[in-house]
Amino acid sequence: MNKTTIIRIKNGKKYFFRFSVNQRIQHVILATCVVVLVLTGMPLKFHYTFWAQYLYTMFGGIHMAPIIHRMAGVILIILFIYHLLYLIRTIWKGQILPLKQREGLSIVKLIRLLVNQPLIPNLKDLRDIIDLLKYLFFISAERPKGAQFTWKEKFDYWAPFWGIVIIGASGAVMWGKEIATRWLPGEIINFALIAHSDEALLAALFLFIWHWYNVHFSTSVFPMGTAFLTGYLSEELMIEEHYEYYVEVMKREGFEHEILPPHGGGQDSTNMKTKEEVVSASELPRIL
Amino acid sequence: MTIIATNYKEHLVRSLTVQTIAIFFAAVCMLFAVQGLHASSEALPDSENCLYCHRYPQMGRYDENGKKRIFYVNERIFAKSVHGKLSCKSCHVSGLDQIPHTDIKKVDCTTKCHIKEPSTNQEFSHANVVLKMETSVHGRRNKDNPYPEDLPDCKSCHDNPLYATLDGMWCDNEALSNETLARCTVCHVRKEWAESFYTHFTHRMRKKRAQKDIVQLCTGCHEDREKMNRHGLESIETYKDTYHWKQVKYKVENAPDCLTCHVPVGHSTHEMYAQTDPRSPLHMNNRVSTCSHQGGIQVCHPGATPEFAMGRVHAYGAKAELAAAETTIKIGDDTDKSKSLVQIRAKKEISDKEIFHYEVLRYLTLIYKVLIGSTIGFMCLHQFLDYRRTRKRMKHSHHSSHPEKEDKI
Repeated sequence: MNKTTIIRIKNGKKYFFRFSVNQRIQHVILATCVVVLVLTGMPLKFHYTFWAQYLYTMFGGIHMAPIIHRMAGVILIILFIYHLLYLIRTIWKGQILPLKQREGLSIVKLIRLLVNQPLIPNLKDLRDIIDLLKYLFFISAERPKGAQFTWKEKFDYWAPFWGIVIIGASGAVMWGKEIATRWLPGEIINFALIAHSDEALLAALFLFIWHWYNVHFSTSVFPMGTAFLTGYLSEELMIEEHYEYYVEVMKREGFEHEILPPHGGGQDSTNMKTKEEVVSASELPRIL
Repeated sequence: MTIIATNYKEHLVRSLTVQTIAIFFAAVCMLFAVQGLHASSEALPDSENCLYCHRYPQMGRYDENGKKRIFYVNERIFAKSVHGKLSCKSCHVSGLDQIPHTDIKKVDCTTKCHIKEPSTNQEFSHANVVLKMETSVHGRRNKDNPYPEDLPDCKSCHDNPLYATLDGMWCDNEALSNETLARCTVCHVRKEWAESFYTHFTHRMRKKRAQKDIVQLCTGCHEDREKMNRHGLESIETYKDTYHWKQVKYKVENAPDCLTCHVPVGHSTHEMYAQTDPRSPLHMNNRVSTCSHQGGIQVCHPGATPEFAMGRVHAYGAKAELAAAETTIKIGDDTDKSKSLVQIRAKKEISDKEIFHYEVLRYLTLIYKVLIGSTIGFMCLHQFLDYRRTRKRMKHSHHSSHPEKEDKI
């Protein structure tokens, strides 16, 4: 694997590495499957509404849509298993083996290493949430200085992670209900139906209201965030969302003298103009 | 037939209008009587001359209860209907001699109708099937039923058989039916007879109603909570949460309606029994067969296990709720007098295991409601605050070079 460029400079602007090609492909598969699953599943849950029939017909009605739904479900479960293996491999090769070579392995060290993974929720997230509340209620003018992955992104990661387990398992029970009831009580089908459809509703609403807003529709990103395609994030958004990590990366990559102050909190008012610039779609980088 | 209940004043005015129109129509129709007779020459000869009056579409009146009654008979449709071979007096047995008819009795389907039933060569009557129905779960001969007026009679389900024309084996494909008929008429020279025999036979080869209509028919009573509670039953709207109903709704061929499980292959709608009765297809001993293969003809869940068959298609309804409530809040000890029939039956029928399952289901639903409500509420609030905050910040950065100084507290 080639060493990834952490900061790319294009047209005098800096772009910060976020996601590898592998991760981006995983995300595109996940996104496509989820959208297809929602569109083919919701007309069944909301069969009594006026739009359900039209939407269902678009996917071939009850003859075709359930097949598409199951295919998308299977792909998603395969992706999930792949992701778990990918996760284990990445941590093992990238962190555990070097640690072992460096200073030997113990259970305490291993646990500490796992807990310190960038996507594991920690106390910093709690502080960030409090800081965010202060900011939102005009108590402070500064946004929380986010780390590599903010608590919002941890939400974005763990919600579908949990969702796939629940929805996948209950979906499998309903699909293979005759087989499932060889070992499980018959009522499991009733429970699975509730868990499957309600968890799916939660996931869909989460996706549209939370994830899409944060990455596409919020005022600083609108109309579309591109990090999921390019894998890189602009300096403005880096400062806005991940200031702590931004400073860390800038120092590590030797740009110490070019570090910009955080949004809204800088004493140097001349910098304000650049900070408040909103990225327009035409300026977006083409790094891929 | 539309039956509209109206109040007294309204019905006086309306009946006058109906009369006027009827007289006018009668006059007009008299003028064209000759043409009319020509047009109806294919239909059965009206030997009793009932159509002399009943041919007029406006014929009708409001009865004592303010219900609009229509006495019009379309002879062509009638001739093609199930009862098209019968004379009027075969069913309307009494009170017809006096005009206007005063002492008409309701039609009794067990009446012998002077048509020979070919297997016994005796006069035909529906008495057999009526007896079966009357002793089934829907029947009024169940003596312990406190509300016999709620129970269905023939016409509750056969709601308008008179006007349902008979179709052939090939559904609405007349060409195919005619091709088959052509073979019949090679030997059976009287075409009308052959046609009626053919339709009589083929009519029974397929379901008359679409699945959705069957569900509608059953739910007409079984979704009426008050009525169901009176009989110690629960409303069955939970069926509409099932994939079964969704298939019916989205018009899957052969989708499971009420009768698919409650009257599977080999059973009759006229002979339905409580699920505690060993004759019922939903009796514990018969369930696996009902779910899986129904005797080899209709295969639905071939791999059905006993546990699968014990699963609840109707999820948990009112009874489980009542039974669960009773275990937590003890209402008036064991004095059954204050309780409704459904409460008593709920206590008797719902086992502890089922109450437990009901509770699990209830909490599961509740947890998701709370989870969805709180998560979405929190998210929407956050997005709103975020939007407001950003707007404010942008405004300041445009207007002053010292943004947000005034915001700081």
